[in-house]
Amino acid sequence: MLEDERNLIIRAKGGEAEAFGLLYDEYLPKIYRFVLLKTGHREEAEDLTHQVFLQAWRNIRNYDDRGYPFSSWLYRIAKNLVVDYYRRLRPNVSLEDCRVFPADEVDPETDLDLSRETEKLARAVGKLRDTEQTVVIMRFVDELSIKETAAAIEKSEGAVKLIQHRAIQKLKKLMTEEK
Amino acid sequence: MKQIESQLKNLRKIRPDKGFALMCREDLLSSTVVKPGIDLWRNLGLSLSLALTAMLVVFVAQNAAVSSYSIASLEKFEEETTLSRDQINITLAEINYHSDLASKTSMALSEAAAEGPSHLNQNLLMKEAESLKIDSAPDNVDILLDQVIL
Repeated sequence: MLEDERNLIIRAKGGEAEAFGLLYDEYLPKIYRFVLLKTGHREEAEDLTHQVFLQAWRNIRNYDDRGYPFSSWLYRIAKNLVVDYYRRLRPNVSLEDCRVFPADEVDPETDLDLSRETEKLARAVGKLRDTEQTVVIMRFVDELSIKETAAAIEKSEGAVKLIQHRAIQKLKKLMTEEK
Repeated sequence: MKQIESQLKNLRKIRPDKGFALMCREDLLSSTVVKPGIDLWRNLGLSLSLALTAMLVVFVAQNAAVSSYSIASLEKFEEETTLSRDQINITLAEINYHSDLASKTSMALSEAAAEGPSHLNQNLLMKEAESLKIDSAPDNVDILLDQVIL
């Protein structure tokens, strides 16, 4: 964690809104991207992202820096909100069975302004299991470290490496099948 | 593998709408957040409540202990008083007995001193026997007794 970020967190914990605003500026793109890739809908992603930061701001005093980066804390809030979002949509479907990224519903023209190849990859990511998606997005899109990812998904670093390896293998296979 | 990783990096192009980012920021920072000061007051209030409760509990516990001690003391006192009263009664009875005995002894001694050992005097005994004028028993007393008994 950067020293500046540590100071910002201390100030934000003291109730200084401007300090939290700077943390928001830093993490908004990453959290929004994460939520959008998990939901595939811009409006839903905006609502959920707003909720993530609202929860973070309201509970920032509960954040305790004990080797867990601030980013991991935010991602954990985001992950839980996405889980709640899908539970509300389909309460009887288990989370692991639920394709969190609704690949068939994605319209890249309106939702994601991506190249055709990247669009294909986004669809493939949507076919991964929930935890695999999360790890892929955190590790390769948002460039979180293994440690940060492990803290965010509450698993060991070894488990993250394993999930990551398995997810990449699946993606490779899915991309080959698409061609 | 590397190709997929580099393609995944392209997804970083995804960025939130600027209008949304600005509006969300303003909304967040204007939202009410519990300030540490307020929390301090809440904590202080909670601490005071806990302290008062603890004091109350200690006070009640002490009173309860004093009450039970007082009751025990009263019972003990009452018991001791009863014992003392009995002892006093016994002592008074003994005193009465000894007093009575002393007065009787004194009276007997006075009489003895005044009359001397007259009851042991053979002449006096004979005189008393004569004064009683007891007739000699009739001859047929045995026959009469037998009739009464049989």
